[in-house]
Amino acid sequence: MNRLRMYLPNPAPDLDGASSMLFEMGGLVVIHDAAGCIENYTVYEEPRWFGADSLILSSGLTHMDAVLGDEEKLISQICETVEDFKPNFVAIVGSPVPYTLGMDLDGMAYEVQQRIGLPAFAVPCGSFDIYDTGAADALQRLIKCTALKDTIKKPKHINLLGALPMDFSSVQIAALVNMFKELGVTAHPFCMGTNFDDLFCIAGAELNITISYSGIKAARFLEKEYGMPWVYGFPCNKNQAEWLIKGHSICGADKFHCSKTKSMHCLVLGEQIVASSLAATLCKTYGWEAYAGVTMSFEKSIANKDTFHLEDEEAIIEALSKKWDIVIGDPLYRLLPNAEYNKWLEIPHAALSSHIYKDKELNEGLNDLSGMVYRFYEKSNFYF
Amino acid sequence: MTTCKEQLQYSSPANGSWNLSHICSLMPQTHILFAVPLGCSRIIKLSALEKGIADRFWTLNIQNQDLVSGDIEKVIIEGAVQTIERLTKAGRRPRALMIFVSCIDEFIGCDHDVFLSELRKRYPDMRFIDGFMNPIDRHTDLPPIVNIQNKLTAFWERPKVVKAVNFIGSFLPPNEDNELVEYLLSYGYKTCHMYTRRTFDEYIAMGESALNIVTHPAGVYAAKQIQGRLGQAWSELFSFKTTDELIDSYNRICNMLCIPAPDFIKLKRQTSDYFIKKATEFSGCPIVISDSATIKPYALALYLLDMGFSVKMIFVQGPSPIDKPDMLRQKYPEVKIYNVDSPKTALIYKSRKYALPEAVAVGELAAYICRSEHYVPQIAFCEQPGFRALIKLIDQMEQSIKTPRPLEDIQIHGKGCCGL
Repeated sequence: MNRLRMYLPNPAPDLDGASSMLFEMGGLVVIHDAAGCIENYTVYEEPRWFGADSLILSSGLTHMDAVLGDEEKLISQICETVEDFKPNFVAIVGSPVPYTLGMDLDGMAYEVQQRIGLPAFAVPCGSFDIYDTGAADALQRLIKCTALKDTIKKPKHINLLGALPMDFSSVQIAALVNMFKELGVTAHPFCMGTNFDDLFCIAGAELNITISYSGIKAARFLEKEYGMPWVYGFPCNKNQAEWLIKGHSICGADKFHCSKTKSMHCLVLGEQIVASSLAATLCKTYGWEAYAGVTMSFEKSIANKDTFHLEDEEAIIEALSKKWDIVIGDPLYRLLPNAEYNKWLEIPHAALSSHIYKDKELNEGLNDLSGMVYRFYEKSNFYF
Repeated sequence: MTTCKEQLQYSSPANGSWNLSHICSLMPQTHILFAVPLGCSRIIKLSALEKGIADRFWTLNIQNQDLVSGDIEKVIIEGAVQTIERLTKAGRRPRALMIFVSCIDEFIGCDHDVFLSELRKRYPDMRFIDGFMNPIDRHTDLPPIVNIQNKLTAFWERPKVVKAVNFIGSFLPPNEDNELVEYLLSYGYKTCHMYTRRTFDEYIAMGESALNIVTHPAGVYAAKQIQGRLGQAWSELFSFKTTDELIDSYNRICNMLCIPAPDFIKLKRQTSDYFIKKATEFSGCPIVISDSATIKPYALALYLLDMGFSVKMIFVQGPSPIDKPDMLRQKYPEVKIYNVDSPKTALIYKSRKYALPEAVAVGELAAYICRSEHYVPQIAFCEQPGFRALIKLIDQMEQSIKTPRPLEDIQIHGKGCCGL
């Protein structure tokens, strides 16, 4: 892996993914940092921050605190803030310095829980991993700490695990929920558009659908603890949503039939489940030879043979050097060498480009993403 | 006033300030390599992309195994060599390479001399320097914003002395119509600022100027270091000054340059008259100020109140070493002062506790908290000194009443403020 990144920014880091996953849950989320990490999060990663009243705060870690290992200071500050604000839970999110020094964030969370009697947990991030690993960890720990009370099965209720603004806009998630509603199913997207109380019923759903990498860990946890079945895939049209409800993954090896009848080569760049779902749907519906190039975290166990990991900038450049009829991905990928030889459908991915291309965000046709791609290609209405 | 006790900190969405990508771009023909964990460099690259200068900022991702491997210096050398070779191959060999490290650097015992000396040996035609993106040192004697000012001037040379003065501290040069700039020019003194240097040689030659005029306190350390290293004298002209303070500062600067003191009495009177006239026109329109806009929010409030304006609230993100609220509190106790680092600030916008949408806000933070679209998107590091700058500020405040700005713009780095 080449560590040098010349053209692209790194994807959002783990601590931002963790904070974002917890944003709507009414907790006190403390990023244990020197107030630089939180600024990155609030400025570039959290589109809901403006006007919000979410308690995502910085510990304001100083050099001296770090050297002296003053854990009591943070614990006291958290307890004091809990008294003032009565949050639903407390989460301590790590950052590079606590990670480097091996600070015991779990121990601190335990101490906080003992003192205040609220659920408390740590998400041990260090900014060395990307957003989806932090988000996955945060969701799993959040579910674990809420000690699920209501496991009575609710027919026609499903959970969508891995809803995160770095991968989906709120409009996209709303369209997704609506798509399932039209199929007679109530979908609970964790954690965009759900709240803390919804968590207590999470084990009552019939099925967990993991719509991004961020949901995999929680799905496995719920399977292990509550025997909940789970599938993975982002439905790019209503047929796909139905397929998921029936308990089939979209992009799994051998589970989804692709008939590559047309010589139409397509590369979808981005998050693993979204990219591979779109590629698989284009293949299934239109017979395209579509591949998913995963530029974010990669889970080998759910990757089919048309999904491959592009783990650094050079790998993406190399992938772009092949002849594609269309490449679908964030506009920033077009900065890379070889990008100019391809036709592009630009779909912004906030985990990479933050709000830079907000004006290009998809707001229409979201219940038929694959159809939108196809029609877009048919019209040859591409940016060159 | 809320006390500034140690507590969890809120981070507002108002972020007009410059960050390292903007600051480092002041050094011409220099490439910047961030040898940091992946999350630390992202904001730099994104803001550089927004500014269209991303090709000057590359990232070398430090990984968790580097923390224990003990060969972090080797990793940096390899990354730097790869950077230089690739740039050279592309015909873009830089004159200098600036290598940034982040907060963890001090805790993993990275020896900067090891990688700097090796790179200097391998590439004798180039300059190398380290930089620090380490907010963990914000409360030390050498916070990052002070340190970077020193690093940015590290390559200056002084083979001779020329008739010029430098402005340092603020990230923008003084306005061309600044009365001091005009006056110095009349005595043959050019003014220099890094913002206007186009080549590395022009930038190095700033060491030849007769005097450094420091317009922001963050530049004082650099000025002292330069004086020690090159013997270049300095004088402060912090950006906000009342008319009396300005006269004193101008006299001192001219004295150091051995030129007659300027007669700005008429300009001083004109400025005061203008403020008094405008205060009448504002007819009690509430004004709110935040320290995101000025290095001296209390002094600015006091001056405006003395001139007849109606300052209602001041929002600060912590204590200031050069601006105390005592006089303001004594003379105008009705003015409310709020510390917005406090966790309670998280609830302010939604609760509309300090909503004052009709107010004119000096600074984006004040605009956000008061929900006012009538704001001057000035940032403290781009504040201008001088009588005419004071007049311009009032004009901008007046303009903000006529032309509101979308409040959401405060989230974008430097949107609307000059220079970005």
